Amino acid sequence: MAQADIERLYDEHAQALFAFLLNLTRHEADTRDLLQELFIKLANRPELCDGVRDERAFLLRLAHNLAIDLIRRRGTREKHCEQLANEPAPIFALASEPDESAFREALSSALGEIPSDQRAVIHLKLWEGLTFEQIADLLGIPLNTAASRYRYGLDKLRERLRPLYDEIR
Amino acid sequence: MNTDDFEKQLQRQPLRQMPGEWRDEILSTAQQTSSPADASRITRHASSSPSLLSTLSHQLSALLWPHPTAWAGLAAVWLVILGINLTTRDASAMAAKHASPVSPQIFMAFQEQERLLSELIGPREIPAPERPKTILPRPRSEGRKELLMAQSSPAATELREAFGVRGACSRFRPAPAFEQRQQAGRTPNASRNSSSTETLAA
Repeated sequence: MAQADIERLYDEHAQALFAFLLNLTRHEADTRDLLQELFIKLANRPELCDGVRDERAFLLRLAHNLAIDLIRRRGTREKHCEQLANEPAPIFALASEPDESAFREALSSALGEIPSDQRAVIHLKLWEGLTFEQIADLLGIPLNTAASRYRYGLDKLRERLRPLYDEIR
Repeated sequence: MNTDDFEKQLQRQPLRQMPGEWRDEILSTAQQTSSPADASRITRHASSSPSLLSTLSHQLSALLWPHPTAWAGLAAVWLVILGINLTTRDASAMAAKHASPVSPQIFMAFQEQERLLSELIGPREIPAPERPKTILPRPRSEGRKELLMAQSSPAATELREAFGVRGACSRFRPAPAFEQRQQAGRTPNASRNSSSTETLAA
């Protein structure tokens, strides 16, 4: 793949990939490593993008697979070596108002507490605007599974954020 | 709390921006790895031993990760067994090495004792090896005949006369005294004061 194509892909999709990976890994350095790995893979195997209709969905799928591999490795390492994770990186922009800032921090913390498969579906639905069908296709899961994961995850977030949400309304 | 409102509230939260300095780093690294030299290097590594080693290590880690404590304990037990084995082997080897050799004086004294013992006991008689019995081939009918005779003869416990069998005491009877040989008597024609030479001269 030409360097110009790589740069174009980066400029168009890197921000979305970054947010998605950061939401999954909750770690900035890991996110950077995964992004690096993804673009190295694209540079070494340009045929991967041949015939791809939706570049964003394709790149998100690659990123999701890399993140799942990392989470499995990291989960095993943390489980057996008793290495506690550091403070999770914030996934939202800083807010000027205190209520908004508190809500974003609480939302970031609540997202970190739900399972990663539910978190992936919620992120793709809320902040990427994908349909359940697209999400199911991207993650390789049935449509109903994607919908139920979204529903379960959203219920947990609502339960957790109810006091703050009622307050800022 | 309305579900749609809550979802819209979540959607309104702006996501964090990616650091701008990552762009150059990520793209330059991707460009370096995609250059022909690096590509050939990656291909060469993929076909040589590091790839094999990495694959092996990956498979080993996948195999050992589920129960690392158990594997570590097993490895520790093996190390202890190996250590004990090496320690005992070294001790026996050291003991054999530290054993002092037999001095010439002790060896000579031992030889002297052996010589005295042989003088007291006498020369040792080496028993002749027992010769294997030679079985002459004979017709099977004779063997069968002997078997029939043995079956028809009286039992060994029955008292009977033993013909041609010497008693054990016969070996110890006194040996007969040899008679001394005596000179033959003179013939009647022989003169008392004559000799055989004179008679022949006459």
